[in-house]
Amino acid sequence: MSDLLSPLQGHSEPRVAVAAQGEAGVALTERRIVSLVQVAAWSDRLAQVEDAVAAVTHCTPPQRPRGSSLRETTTIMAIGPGRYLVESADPELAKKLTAVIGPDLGAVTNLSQARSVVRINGPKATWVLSKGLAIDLDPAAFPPLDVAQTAIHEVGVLVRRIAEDSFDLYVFRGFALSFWAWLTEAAAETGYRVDPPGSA
Amino acid sequence: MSGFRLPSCGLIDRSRPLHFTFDGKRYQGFAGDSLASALLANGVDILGRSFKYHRPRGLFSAGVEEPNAMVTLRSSARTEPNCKAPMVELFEGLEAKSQNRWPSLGLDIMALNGLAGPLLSAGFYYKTFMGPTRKAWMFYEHFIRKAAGMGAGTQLRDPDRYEETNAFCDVLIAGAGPTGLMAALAAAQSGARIVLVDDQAEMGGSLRGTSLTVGEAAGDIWCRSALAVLSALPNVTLLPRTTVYGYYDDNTFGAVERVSDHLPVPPEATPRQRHWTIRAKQLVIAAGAIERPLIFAGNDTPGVMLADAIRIYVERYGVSPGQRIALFANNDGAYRTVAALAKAGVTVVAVVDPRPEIGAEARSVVEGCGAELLTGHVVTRARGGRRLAAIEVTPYDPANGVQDRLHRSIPVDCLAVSGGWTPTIHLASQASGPARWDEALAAFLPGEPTQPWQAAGACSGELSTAACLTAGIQAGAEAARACGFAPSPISVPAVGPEITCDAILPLWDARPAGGKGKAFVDLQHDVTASDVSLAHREGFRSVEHLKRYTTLGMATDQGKTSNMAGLALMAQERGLSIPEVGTTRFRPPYTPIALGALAGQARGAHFRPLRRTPMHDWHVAEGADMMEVGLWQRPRVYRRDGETVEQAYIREARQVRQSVGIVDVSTLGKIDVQGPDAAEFLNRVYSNGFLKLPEGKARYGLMLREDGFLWDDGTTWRLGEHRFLMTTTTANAAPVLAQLEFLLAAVWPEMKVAVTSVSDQWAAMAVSGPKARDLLAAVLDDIGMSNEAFPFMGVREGHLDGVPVLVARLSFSGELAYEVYAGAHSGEAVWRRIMAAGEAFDVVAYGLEALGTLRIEKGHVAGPELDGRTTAEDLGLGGMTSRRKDYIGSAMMDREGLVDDNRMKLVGLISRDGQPVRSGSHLIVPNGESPPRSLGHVTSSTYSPALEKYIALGLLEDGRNRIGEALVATYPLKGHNVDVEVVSSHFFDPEGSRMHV
Amino acid sequence: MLIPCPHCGPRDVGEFTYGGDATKERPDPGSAAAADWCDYVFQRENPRGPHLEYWHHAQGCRLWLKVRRDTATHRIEGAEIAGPWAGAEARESDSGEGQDVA
Repeated sequence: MSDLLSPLQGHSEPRVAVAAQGEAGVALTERRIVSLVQVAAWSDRLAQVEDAVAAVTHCTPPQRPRGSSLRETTTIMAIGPGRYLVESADPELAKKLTAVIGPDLGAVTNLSQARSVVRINGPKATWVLSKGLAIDLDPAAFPPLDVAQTAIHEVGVLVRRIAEDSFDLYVFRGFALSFWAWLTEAAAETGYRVDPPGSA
Repeated sequence: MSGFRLPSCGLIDRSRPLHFTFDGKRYQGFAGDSLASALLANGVDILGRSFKYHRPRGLFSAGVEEPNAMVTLRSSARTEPNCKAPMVELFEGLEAKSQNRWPSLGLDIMALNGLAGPLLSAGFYYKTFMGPTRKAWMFYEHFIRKAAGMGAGTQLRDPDRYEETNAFCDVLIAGAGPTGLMAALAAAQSGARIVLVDDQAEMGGSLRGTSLTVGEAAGDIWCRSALAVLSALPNVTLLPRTTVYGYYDDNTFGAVERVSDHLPVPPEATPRQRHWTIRAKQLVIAAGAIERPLIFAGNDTPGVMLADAIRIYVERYGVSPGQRIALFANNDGAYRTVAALAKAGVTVVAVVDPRPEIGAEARSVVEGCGAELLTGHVVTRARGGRRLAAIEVTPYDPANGVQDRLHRSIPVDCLAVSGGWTPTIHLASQASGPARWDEALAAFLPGEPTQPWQAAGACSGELSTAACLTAGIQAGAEAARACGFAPSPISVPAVGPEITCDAILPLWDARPAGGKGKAFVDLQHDVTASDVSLAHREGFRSVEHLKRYTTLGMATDQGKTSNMAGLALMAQERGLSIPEVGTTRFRPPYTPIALGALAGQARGAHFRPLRRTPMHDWHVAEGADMMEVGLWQRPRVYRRDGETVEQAYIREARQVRQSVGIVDVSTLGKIDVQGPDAAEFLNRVYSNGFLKLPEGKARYGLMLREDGFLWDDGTTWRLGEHRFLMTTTTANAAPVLAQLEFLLAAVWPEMKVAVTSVSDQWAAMAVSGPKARDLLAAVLDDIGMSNEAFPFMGVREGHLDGVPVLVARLSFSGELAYEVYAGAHSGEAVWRRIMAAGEAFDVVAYGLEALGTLRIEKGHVAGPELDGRTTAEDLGLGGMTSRRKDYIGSAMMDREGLVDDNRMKLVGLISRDGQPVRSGSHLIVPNGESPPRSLGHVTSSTYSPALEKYIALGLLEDGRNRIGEALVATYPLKGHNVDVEVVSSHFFDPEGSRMHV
Repeated sequence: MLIPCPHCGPRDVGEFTYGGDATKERPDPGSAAAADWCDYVFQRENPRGPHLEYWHHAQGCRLWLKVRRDTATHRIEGAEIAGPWAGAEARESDSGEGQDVA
């Protein structure tokens, strides 16, 4: 019994809802998280924790607030001073990080099933997101690879910009369906396409 | 029937006729018309009845300042009252109705109010119905509200969608007339991000349809080419049909875009309106100015209009509002209207101007059109009931005032009035010091900015197009510079000869002394000049008092055409200058906005976000009654065919005590607490000890507030030496986490502890009942379930059908019980697996009601008892407040009032007469004093299947010493009285033998 | 109102919850008198003008901040992180230099 059930099951299946102008302005895809782990370093152990994260993931943690770094299937996002959210395709990530980051260095918390991720991309992505995001989405202010923790429609969301027209939206699992319903309604104006879950 | 369509001029598209109805009658207009211009072209004189006196009113203006022509648009669910006709774009099939008339616009019985006019003066309602005769007000209010007022809205659900959006820019420009366009051009070429907003469908403001030349071309053509340049720039966003209505902290602006209001019905998936929250580094206010009227008797007669509005109707819409028109103005600018009328071939009969001398250009305009020029004259009266028929004209000189005995009458059907211009300082005044008085313009100009904005053009007193263009360039460039850009200079286009509005004679009131007839200051609220005098006589002299007493300027137009005249009259009464009297502050919104626009998408299913547990779909599929608990959706009961809610929860609770039940407890707050100081931290946070909690054990803990009252409870599980899983009540999940974060940041920053919400990571379910152990033993792969291997309060990690789970032996129901935590994505599968295996054990899924029943039978406290006013001792939990350590709340929990013996204490209550006890009932002595004194109240109640009685928990004064007493639980609002007996709150299995087996 | 979160940048006040006077220090439980606790828990100035106050970036990075705000104008002079990462904002803002070190 290992089937994992997404809170968007039955909702995020492929379909097209085009607007009056006949084209889908955005594509929405539910991304499936394998591992998502929060690492919090004690303030006097930041360097050791960063080294430990790098050793496990072969990816250097971002050295900039709100930044993220990416190597192969690992993404490390800076979510606060000394705090990182590490996403990876390695199902053993939490275990491996816990092994190298003991209580003397910091804390490791497995959040792999605590979030749902929706990717939105397409020429109208920033237009649709602006309906809920009160942050400046101009690439100069929010460049690709940056992350922002904020709220859409009162739902806490972590936004990671993949590219100019492409974003990953991490939301709390319990809110995922409510958020999805809001997002598809917001995207109806420009039309949207839902790509198969896990295809992004 | 005086207005008519001119044969050629205007920007309307005469090849595209549009049909519409007004009060059920069919009319035709053209694409590009406003509802106002189309009605005017059809010769419709009366567009509404006035607010208080029900006087016939016609069109007065051509913009948002319109005080008279308020109509109700559309019908049934899309009915929208109080729309200003000049702001309504005509579309095919538009339906409009006049307002505030009965039975019809032509014959309005309420117009009798006009005859009773003296009764309805300022403060009439207060004086008559409030105060000592307040009861009279209660009686009359209904009728008064019906008689006075505006259009009626609909009670039907709004079928349209609204959206909100956010925009960020360097420079926001409010207003796209000559100033705003130039500012945008100047700022945009520097690369700054620009948002240019205008309330009209077509940008250009006063340039639209103008006869002026700008640059090499007609003003209108120049305007279009400027817009073409701007719309091609990627750093410019143009927002037509949008009004910036409010100025908020940190240069944040509220604006509403009327996305689909110009269409019969919004296209599918397109909002009707869109609310914009705009954050700009700099604001350029290019809001223009609003012409102001003059005060004379009958100045509200249909046919009396603002002079520049008439010019707009002629030049932009190709409509003349009359056949024989006169002008009454105190400034040269208004003569542009005469020029426009003359050019269109409309007869201008006379020009009346109080000034002894007028400018040369103005004079030549009058001479060119053959109108009689009456300088040193004023209009003292407009005659004609339903349509202007004549004006009375009288000599005037500044020294002696109005010479009424010399008046003469001139037949006209339309009078253009202009008392000068009032700069639109609304936005500026929301972020500035006091407005600045300009003597030459006799107007208030924007005060000192308190936020980064600048005003340019007409709203800062530049009343010529040429000056506006120059000011726009300067403001745009300056704003871009302030944002760190380097705009290169651009040249000012040359403007052809124009009549400017420099010389104004500040004349406000043209009534002769002792003259009769109503002279209106505020047309929308029917406030007359004599109301202002009356207010003064009665001592309401501050402008703020004047405003509230007379309601001057308090209509939906916020006094756009009336405030200045009101101030001037009060200044005259008090013998002060206008700036000495001062002005009121404008508040948002600049124009009324639909509540739908403010709500945006947050309505219906999106009123607020919903939170679902991992087993949500199962509950719904099983037919659970779902209820909202905060944002959570939780199953209340799983009703079987024909069951009532009560029958269902009784069945569920009974089955839990008989065999086994399962309930979704995923909504509990779950917090991961880690670090070398985690145990010490918990020991300071909870009132009971946590230092010695062994690994693999859970403990029930109490949290107090710093003031010593009880705050929250829950179990915390020690998963490792430095690793805990804390649970909180559903309601306090977020506040507890925030408090823990606060303590670690602000109080004990030296502690190495990390706290993280894992509420969404885990699906949680409680399995309770005598057969709980057997059921779990059947599904768990690797956890020993014997009482020895897995004792009460034990915590174990293992697998259930291969799924990693955490199991803790905890009991809220008083039964042998376990909480099973699984990864959220596996929650439903684990739940299904337990349900499937549970068939053999007669398992039942139970909801919140049964959960409540079981805990009330046990006397366990929950939200209704943890109400923020109870102490641990009140609830019988005093033994859990340690005396041997310091913790949050320990210093203040022993205050006198918190340890008083007479405090209300938790007790059990049993219904003695078989009736349910209502939560919220007061507990009183039977047959006692009247009115009875409340000794306490019922907090939670249920039917107890275990006791086969209705029972309740309550808080009762000195409750523990009242065990055995008979009281009455009374609920006077429902006339509900139940005899109850006070008992211990531990109704069922007080020894706790069932959960320890 | 925008609060300049040292980690997230300027954010709308709606993302934050108010935490009250940040000049109050929790009394030492070992030595404090009842009056000290009363002062800490209940007594608050209501200044017109500059005020140092706690704000929690609850819908952002979840840091508790000390924000200097003028209660009369809502003008915010600055915000700093409260707690073990106090001062980290300095490191955060000039961290660009350290980017290649790792």
